[in-house]
Amino acid sequence: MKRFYFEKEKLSSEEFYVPLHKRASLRDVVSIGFGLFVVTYLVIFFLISITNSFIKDPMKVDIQHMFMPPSIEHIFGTDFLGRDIFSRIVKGTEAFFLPGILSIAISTTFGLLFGVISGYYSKTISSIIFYFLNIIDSIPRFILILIVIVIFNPSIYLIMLFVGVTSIPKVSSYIKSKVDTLKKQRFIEACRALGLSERSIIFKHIIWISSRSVLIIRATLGMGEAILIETSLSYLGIGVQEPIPSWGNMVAMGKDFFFQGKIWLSTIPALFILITIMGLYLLGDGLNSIFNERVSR
Amino acid sequence: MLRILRLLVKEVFYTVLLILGVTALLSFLFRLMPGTISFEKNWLNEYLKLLQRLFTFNFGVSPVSGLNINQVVFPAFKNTFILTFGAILISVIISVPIGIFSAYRSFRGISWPLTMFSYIVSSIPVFFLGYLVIYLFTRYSNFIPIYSATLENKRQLLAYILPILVLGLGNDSVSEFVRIISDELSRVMSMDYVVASKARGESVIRSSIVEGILIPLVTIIFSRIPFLIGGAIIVEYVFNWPGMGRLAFQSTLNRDLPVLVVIAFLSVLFVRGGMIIKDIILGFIIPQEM
Amino acid sequence: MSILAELSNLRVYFYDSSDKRFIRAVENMSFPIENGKVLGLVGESGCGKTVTALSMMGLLVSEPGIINGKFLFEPKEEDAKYIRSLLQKVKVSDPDEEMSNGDRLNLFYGLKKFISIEENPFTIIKNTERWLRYHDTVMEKIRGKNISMIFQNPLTSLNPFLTIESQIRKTLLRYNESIDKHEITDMILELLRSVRLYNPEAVIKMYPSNLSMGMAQRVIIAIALASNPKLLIADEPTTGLDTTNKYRIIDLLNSIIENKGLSMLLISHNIRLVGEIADRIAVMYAGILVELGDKQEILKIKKSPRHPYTEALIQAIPTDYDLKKGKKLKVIAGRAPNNKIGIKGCPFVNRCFYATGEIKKKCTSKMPPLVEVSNGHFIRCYLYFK
Repeated sequence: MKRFYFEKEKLSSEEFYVPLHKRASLRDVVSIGFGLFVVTYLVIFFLISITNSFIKDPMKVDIQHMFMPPSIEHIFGTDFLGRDIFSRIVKGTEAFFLPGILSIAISTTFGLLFGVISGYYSKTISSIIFYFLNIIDSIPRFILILIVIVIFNPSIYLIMLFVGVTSIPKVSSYIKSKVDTLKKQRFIEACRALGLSERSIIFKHIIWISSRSVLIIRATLGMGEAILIETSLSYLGIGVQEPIPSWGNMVAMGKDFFFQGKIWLSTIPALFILITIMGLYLLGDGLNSIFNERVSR
Repeated sequence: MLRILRLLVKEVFYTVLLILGVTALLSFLFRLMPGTISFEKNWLNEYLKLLQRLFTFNFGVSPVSGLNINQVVFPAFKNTFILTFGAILISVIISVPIGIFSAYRSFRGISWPLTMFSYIVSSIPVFFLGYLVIYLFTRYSNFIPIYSATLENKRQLLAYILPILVLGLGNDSVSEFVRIISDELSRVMSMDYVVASKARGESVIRSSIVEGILIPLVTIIFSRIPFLIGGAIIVEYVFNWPGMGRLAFQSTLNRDLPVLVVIAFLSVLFVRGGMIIKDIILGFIIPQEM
Repeated sequence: MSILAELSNLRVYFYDSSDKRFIRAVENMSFPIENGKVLGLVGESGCGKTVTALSMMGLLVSEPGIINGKFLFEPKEEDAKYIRSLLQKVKVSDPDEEMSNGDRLNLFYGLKKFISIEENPFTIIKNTERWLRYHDTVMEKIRGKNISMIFQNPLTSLNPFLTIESQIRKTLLRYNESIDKHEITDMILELLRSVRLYNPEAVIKMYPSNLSMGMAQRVIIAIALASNPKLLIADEPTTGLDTTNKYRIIDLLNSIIENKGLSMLLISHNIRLVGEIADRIAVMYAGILVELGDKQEILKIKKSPRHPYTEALIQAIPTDYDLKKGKKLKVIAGRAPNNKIGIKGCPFVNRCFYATGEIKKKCTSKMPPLVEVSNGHFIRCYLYFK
């Protein structure tokens, strides 16, 4: 039930009016709010982690206090080596934060570059670029990562670099379709008619104004994907490895104790993964519905 | 009909071209690996030899692990195919109704929590979801078994259920399907021809089904195949499912690059094959001029 | 003269969330439609004619939408009982709300139950979702079968993914349960011939993108008629067509009405065109009905009482005499009012030729009431208010 209020006194066909209070779209606000909340704690955790302040030592082994359930002393309890889980969770953000940013940086930069080039220039150039991009795109990302791991035995940064590379085709095709629709619009011709140089047309109108929403959304989603991949690899044991904490390897190590009732060892990092990824996806979703106004339902 | 054939030929041709490129990349990477026993001095010869092996589906024996690749890979591929196919089925069955609910005004009251629920389940990392499911099912009942080669046939069939369920529900499939379907459906429902058909008394859903549901569904099903293969790697690991994913992982641990290359090749075939089928289906649905 | 449909006191407001204001789309609109006759609804773009039609069909989706009004309509016999039972299920809060008048049923019955306007403080309490859902159940039986509506752009009104044949077939099957497969194709071909498409065998195989506007509009008309409605609402059916086709389509509509005894509500901004086939004409301005009368009285050029706006409309169309003499086009100075702002008095006052001196004071203070200047001819203007 909604109420609409009128300011003026009479509601009749003679005179009436006006202004109003109505709630904004709830769903978008919640999505974005939640997403920002997630981003906030990620950043805070990361900063705490790299400055090594405020938290206990995540590596400190304390056999006396193994398997302690969550308490005031240890907010999330301790793991099978007596290490404080909360501080390991905080430290775990290091495993994906910078690598994730690396991956989004690569995918958005090159995605934008290739997308604009292939959109703006001739069809042949576009086909050639997309041929190479499709080669990367056709191999399932995970398998490519496995191959890379076997060949290079890489650090998580190098892995994330590859993840970024594998995302380039999608971003490029997104951008290219945007450029295509833009090219068809009259205002590009109008710009040319006014005598604006090609380059300023490209940069100002196409890239900045039209693509920025796409890129921001891609960045948030890309971070979510990066986190998922890092944690999955670490879970399998081929990403970040013990004793360095990663939410993925924490879940893996903790799962054996699940049956013994010590569920917090693997549930807590899993929950963090869940909430973080969901938050990032919701953020991307919410931004998407704000920037790309759809017809209302 | 002729148009479809022409499309098919074009697609196959492009796919072959693509595979040539992929194998070039793979053989190049192969060479990069330190310590690979390289029988050919020339990269080009190596490439051609690899091509020959792959295209004749005669993969030989892996020098690293001694496995006969053909024997190992084909059954594994079959198993992964079953897993992927089943997962897609589950994703579609669950997400289409939710997507329709989300878009269609009358049901708005129900959809928001339901959509949220599907998002949450989808976002649970697949490895945890898998483990949770195993825990629930083995702790409380013995009815649905986990896969193992020693199970008798009937029980083996039941073992299919869990991994398919997990791959279908998790891995973000459902949330992405729901989002795309409900977006497209909402968009289509306000298009002129849908309103016009409503003015004639026809059901809105019926008129918008092709553009709103069928086309996005077909597009997204086949585009998700690469993601599903990635997810399958983890699901197969958790459920001990003898598929290509588990094989890939084991090969990674063994540093068995040849097997990985073959798996990559077969995956590319799977993915591109899906794309071709998708384009053909869309070719039938969408009239020429559009 | 039997009245098939009667719209009374329709009031439609929309809410603009960016400006946080209400837009007065339609205010106090009423008109009758007689059996077998054509009522033309004329007015400039944005005056609310389409909104009126959409309200009648229950196709409005923006909020708030219909907030007041009565729409009496006599449905087909086979549907009357069912609709009546649907209406009876609603327990209305206001005992004065009329459910039916003779054989005519009020399709807006129950509006006050879902939407109420309170006096102090002034609020519209709305339960839009529930009203729309309830209204939909009633209108499902009306749309297509009893009232059909066609729109301005025929090409976008057709499903681009289906052939013409499948689209007509869907409609035919829907309204005629027992049809033989072979019969259907013949029926479709016959239907297309009846709208003057002379190569129907070729047309049915085509997709909408293969059709020209004129052909498409005929197909649309064919589909609209396939369900045998009692009332056809045509919203600017000729506006997208070239001049020759315009008159052809109007002619086609005319012959269909004569042959089938159909009633029609023809909406257009072109009063001349409407005058070709309308029996009565209603003129609308800024969401308000300003004149309603027989075609002859309204289109007569000299010495018949007319609303200043109608007069200006007609005078704006150049006659041959004017062209020969090289006279200037008579335009109506000024612009249509912004419906977002509250309007006191007659909305046409700023552009009205006659609004001067004494009369203007009346014009700006209060909305003039509708006055019957002669039998069945109503004008809303202080010029005729004694």
